[in-house]
Amino acid sequence: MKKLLLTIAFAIAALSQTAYSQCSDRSIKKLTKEGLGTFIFESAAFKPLSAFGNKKSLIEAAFSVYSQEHYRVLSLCQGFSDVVEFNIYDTDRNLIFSNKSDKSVTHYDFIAQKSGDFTIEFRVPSQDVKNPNPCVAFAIGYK
Amino acid sequence: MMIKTRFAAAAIMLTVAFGCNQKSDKENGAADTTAMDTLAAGNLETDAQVQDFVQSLPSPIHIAKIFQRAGLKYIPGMTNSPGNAAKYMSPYSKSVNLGVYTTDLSYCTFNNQSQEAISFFKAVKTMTDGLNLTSIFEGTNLVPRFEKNIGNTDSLVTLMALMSMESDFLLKQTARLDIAYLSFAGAWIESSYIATQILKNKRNQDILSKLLDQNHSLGKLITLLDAYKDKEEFASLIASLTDIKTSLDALNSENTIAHEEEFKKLVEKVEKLRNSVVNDN
Repeated sequence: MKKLLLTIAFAIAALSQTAYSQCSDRSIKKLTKEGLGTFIFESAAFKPLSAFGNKKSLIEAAFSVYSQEHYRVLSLCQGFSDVVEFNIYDTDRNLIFSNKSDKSVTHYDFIAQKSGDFTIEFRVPSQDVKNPNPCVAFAIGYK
Repeated sequence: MMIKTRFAAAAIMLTVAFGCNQKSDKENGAADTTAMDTLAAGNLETDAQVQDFVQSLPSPIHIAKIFQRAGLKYIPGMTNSPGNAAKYMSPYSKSVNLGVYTTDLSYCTFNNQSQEAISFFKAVKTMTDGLNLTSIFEGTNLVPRFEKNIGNTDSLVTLMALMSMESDFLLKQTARLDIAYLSFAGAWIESSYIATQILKNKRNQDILSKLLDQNHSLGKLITLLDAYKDKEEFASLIASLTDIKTSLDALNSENTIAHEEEFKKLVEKVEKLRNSVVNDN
């Protein structure tokens, strides 16, 4: 019986920790390091979905690029009921990448054709009752 | 007995679960507050375009790398003196010179001047300590690791990138965006200063092209700093940067006749601002 109680307590603690740690800087840093591979860290951003308002389903962010530089954009969204779709637009707002057809893809590598702001857009699934506060996050790396 | 035990188990489960939820709510609340602060700051900074995240600026280390690839060589005496680090007293001068020293560190590292680089690494640490950003270095043991890898440029670049990541995460999570923007301003000024000083003596089309390319990040920086324009030091910095942007706009235009004169003006403007920044105690 003691064993059973301990197991249950550990399981609950672990579940609680997982839910909480989804948008912590520690977990995002770890995922950034792993996901960037040989790319060098440029910047990152992360926020719990609740910070955008409860009904937001389209989230956008801009990031700077320099002409002829090699970049990796890494989606680090965590805790959603489905894999998050992300789209990347160039400086002229042309869609240059979408993981819509294969949502298992979480990064995109490219060489910028001109300097300016690119946009990353996340289409997030409706909120999951089991995990009411997932994390929207991304990181940029360069070579 | 069995019923009592099961009841006790259920009670423990509920207590643990409720306790965890309470903690989680509190901590999520704290995270949300930070996030909302960040969001509020972000809202201040954007006008025409609605952004959900605070706008990110390029890494000063990356900018230094771009210049180095364009042919920017190391010239002794071009950087700020690491010995000045202890002289900066105000949060403003510490923040701006944090960026200056980050660029100097990158400039030396990419040009294999690792002995100088360690001095700048320590100067960066002095600035971050003075701004209560100690966790950037303490949690990662960066200084001894940097010293241990002197001479190995790849390892030093990896450590600089780690420092940059720790700093980026900390400043965003604690919503200390004023420090982030001032630091970027310092880095931008220092990299432009080194580039213009070198171009002043010897024209290099690749370096000039990369310098003119900095106009976009400068425009973005001015927009972000505008949220703090009511503070005197910020207002003065914005005015100087806007003046520099006027020259860069002209140099980026197709009217090449006036370029030589405008380039001289740009060199003077950058030099004046950079000297005021590094001499601001």
